[in-house]
Amino acid sequence: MASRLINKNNVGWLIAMTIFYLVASFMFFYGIKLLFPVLANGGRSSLTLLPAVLTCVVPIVIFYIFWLFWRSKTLANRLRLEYIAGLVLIFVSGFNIVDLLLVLSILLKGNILFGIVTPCYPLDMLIANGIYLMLGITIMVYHYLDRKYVLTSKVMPFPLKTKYMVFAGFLLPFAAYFAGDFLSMYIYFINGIRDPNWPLIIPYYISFLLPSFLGLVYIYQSRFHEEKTFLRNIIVLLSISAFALLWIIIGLIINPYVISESLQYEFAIGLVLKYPIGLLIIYLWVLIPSLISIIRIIRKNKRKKDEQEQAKI
Amino acid sequence: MQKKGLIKLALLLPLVSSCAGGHITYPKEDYSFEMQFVEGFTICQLNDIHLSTSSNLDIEFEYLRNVIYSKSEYEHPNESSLLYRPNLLVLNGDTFQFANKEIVVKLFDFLDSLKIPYCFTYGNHDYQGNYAQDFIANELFKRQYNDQIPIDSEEQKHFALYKDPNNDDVYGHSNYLVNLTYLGNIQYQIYIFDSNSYVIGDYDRIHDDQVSWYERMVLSSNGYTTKPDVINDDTFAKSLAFFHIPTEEFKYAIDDYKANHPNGEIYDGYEYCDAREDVCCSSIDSNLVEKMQELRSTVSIGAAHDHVNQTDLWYKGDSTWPIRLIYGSKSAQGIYHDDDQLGAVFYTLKETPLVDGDKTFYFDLTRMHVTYEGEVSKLWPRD
Repeated sequence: MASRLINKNNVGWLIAMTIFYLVASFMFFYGIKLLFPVLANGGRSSLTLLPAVLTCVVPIVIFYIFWLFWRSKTLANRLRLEYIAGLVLIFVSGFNIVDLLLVLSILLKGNILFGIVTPCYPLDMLIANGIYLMLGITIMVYHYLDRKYVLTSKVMPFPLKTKYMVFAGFLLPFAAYFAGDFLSMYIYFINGIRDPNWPLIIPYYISFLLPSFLGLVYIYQSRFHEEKTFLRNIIVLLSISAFALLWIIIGLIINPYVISESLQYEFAIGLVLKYPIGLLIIYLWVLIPSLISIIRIIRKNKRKKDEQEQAKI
Repeated sequence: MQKKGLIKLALLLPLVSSCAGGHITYPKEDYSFEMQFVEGFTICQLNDIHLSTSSNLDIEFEYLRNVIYSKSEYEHPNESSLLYRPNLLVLNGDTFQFANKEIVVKLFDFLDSLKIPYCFTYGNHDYQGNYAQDFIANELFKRQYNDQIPIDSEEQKHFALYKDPNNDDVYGHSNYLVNLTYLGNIQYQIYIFDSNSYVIGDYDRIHDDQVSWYERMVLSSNGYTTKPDVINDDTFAKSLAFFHIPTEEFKYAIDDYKANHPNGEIYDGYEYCDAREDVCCSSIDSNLVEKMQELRSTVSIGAAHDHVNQTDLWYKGDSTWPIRLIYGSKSAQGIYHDDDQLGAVFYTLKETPLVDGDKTFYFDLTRMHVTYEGEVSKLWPRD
């Protein structure tokens, strides 16, 4: 599957998009983690934390827009997406910069390396938003002044159906959050060397990647429309999921405290309600679209078969 | 076939080995600190501070300082608060939630700067920060209070009382004790328990191996190797226990009190009960309180976890040994709270217990209310 997705014409683009996705996912995960104490404390410190949250969330939004841009149906769509990306970057970074400067001058008394939120807060946030702002302005300038590239790219090589666009829009926040959760395992590994639970933790990390794999399966299908391959990929994904789930269940039988002993950082938000809700979300995400797709394909094939038989009669 | 069997075995081995857990039995010395008992020795219990990335540490530390000195400043307004400051602080769980390394380090720096020894126990949220699960413990190990050096010595730089012997046979991480000694004899013991955090869908409780550890510590600290046939009120030195998640006995005691006070009275003689939410304990019973009543050493339990519950109830259950069940006060504004309950409770230990009727008072409990504006008042006992 990967070898077909990556051909010599777009290999660089795909690698760049993969790196972009991983970085954006990690930032998104961190951003949501920053948002939670604000919500839990009734909005306290939102002035300080909101720019950090937005800074962390913007890359995944831009990733989504870039992907839509790449898979646009029409030139008009590309121009619209270009405009939206530019606007998002300018408005968010503009708001963040103003907010950060206010926080810096009033609350932090000019201490540009205050820390707490991130190790280099607010300097790192100012730099990131400076980059966003420049990027946004560049896109807008490009959008209004130089349309040569867009105008010459008249062929839309991989036009995307609306249903995939909407599906990706819903899946992406979850896939990115859990991919970020997966990437945060470096925090665990620092600790995990001495953790006797390590064999029981592996399936959780496999699970964190399942929504991203699901996205990949649908991206492939949206491009090649090969029913048989799609079905095979879905079955492989469901098999991996079942295997990971079985491993988790065996692990919980061996040690029912594995989550509280070793995975509290990973499931911090869900554990507020005493359940690792993330795990449930992952498996619902994998199971529901996969089963719907399988049922639709089976019904479609059956209908085809019936029609063929009817035609024979 | 043999090769496949070996592969299966190799896959299963780490799974099975992972449930092994700790197995080393350490002596009492590996779990205990010594502190000098003085008349009026005061413990300040700090509950549910909930420092997070949304906390303004300057404000929170100033508030904590006000809370810690609130009793001394209230009772001795014209004298230096340093003279009557608490002798020991107990951070009774959920000190952090959604915090990070910097916040943990800064809080411990702040506590070290007060030069008051502090015990730390885990709550159910302390592990949920942006750090490895053992980060807090490692930070506390770096800041160990040296009980061989006088407390006021210049050499005494750190004040953390925290023990967790590596790979021990006691569940949880913060199970240890502080012996308050006077002329070489144990006057009181302070037991710190890890009440653990979660089982799926439920809060955890103090496990049976922790209860066995407690029994072993009580016996060995008092010179026993096995449990004596007869245990009376004077067999063992008296002790106070602190942990985060309350036991089910808190629920029974509150239900009982509320049933006897249908008009919602908060004060009744020796008892105090201002419980505004359900007791969120584990649905799995812990055997700790029964063991405490059997050994007749522990006279009180200080719990936290339920932010708007405040109690000082004498619980007997089916035993003749009463234990005071004390919900402390939430000691910072993080997460949900009621402003009129913020503060701390202070235990002032008595050299000679006071007997009043059928009750024996080993300490006086003072509940202070402190606002973020710096106003201090006493909630209990009433003046």
